[in-house]
Amino acid sequence: MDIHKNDPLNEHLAVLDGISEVPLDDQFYRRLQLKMELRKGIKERRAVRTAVLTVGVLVILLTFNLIWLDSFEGQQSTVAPEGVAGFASYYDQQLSPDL
Amino acid sequence: MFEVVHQRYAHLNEQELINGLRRGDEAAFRRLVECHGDRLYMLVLNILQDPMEAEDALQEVFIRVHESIGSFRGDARLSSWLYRIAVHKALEKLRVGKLRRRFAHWLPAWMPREGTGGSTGWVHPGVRTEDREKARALFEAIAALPDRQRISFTLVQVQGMSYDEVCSVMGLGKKAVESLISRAKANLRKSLANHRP
Repeated sequence: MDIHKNDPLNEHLAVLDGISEVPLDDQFYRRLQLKMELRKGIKERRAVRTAVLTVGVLVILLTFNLIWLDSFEGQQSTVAPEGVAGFASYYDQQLSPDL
Repeated sequence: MFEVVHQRYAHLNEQELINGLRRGDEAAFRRLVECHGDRLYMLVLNILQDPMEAEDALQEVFIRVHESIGSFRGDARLSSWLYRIAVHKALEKLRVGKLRRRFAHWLPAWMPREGTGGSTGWVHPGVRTEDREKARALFEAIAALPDRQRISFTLVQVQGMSYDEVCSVMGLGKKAVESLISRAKANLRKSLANHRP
């Protein structure tokens, strides 16, 4: 009994016996090189863009810090208190009469 | 000049080729493409059933090899490593194709509608003329299989790889591969029963 006549799969698989290998296109390597160069260029541009972006963000943060520090120091610059009464009023305290 | 350098790699063994690749030697890379390109192309073409997608996948495979040859530990053969990358890349393409088809209505007009993985009516270019109809039916039925069944069946039956090689390439145990092949055959028998002349 021929197994190929009963099994549809074996019947179809028989076509694979006579299959020949299809070689790659001659220009494949050239196209591959082009794709690699293109990808390399994109990677380099991305690296430069990332570096520029990082430096930009750092400069912005530094500027904000300097502005904030400047305004903070401006608020702190008060005249130094003189005498015990001055110290007491500076810290929102009242002197007791005993003193 | 390049041809002279290229000749140097013509008779090198695998380890020397790997060393050349690690040094970033272009002649070694070209030799790798020449040695393994055809078989890897057949592999991805048989899985994806689309020459354009297959070439694109193969380019991605070689780019990946070029970028990550340093991570190749050498505990498996270079060809097994290449096959593993190629199978993963093909699987990735199949999944993207399925997603693309599933969300075809949501895609913007400029994006391609068709993706790899469906029933394509593709005929293998290496098939004899008298076998074309049967081959079309067979590959159409293979394309309808679930991804892992499709890949394991293609590796064993179409590529002619041994079970051990398939286990190594797919990262599965022998029992799992046998089960996949068995289920693939059962599914194919059902599909092909209607295609009998």
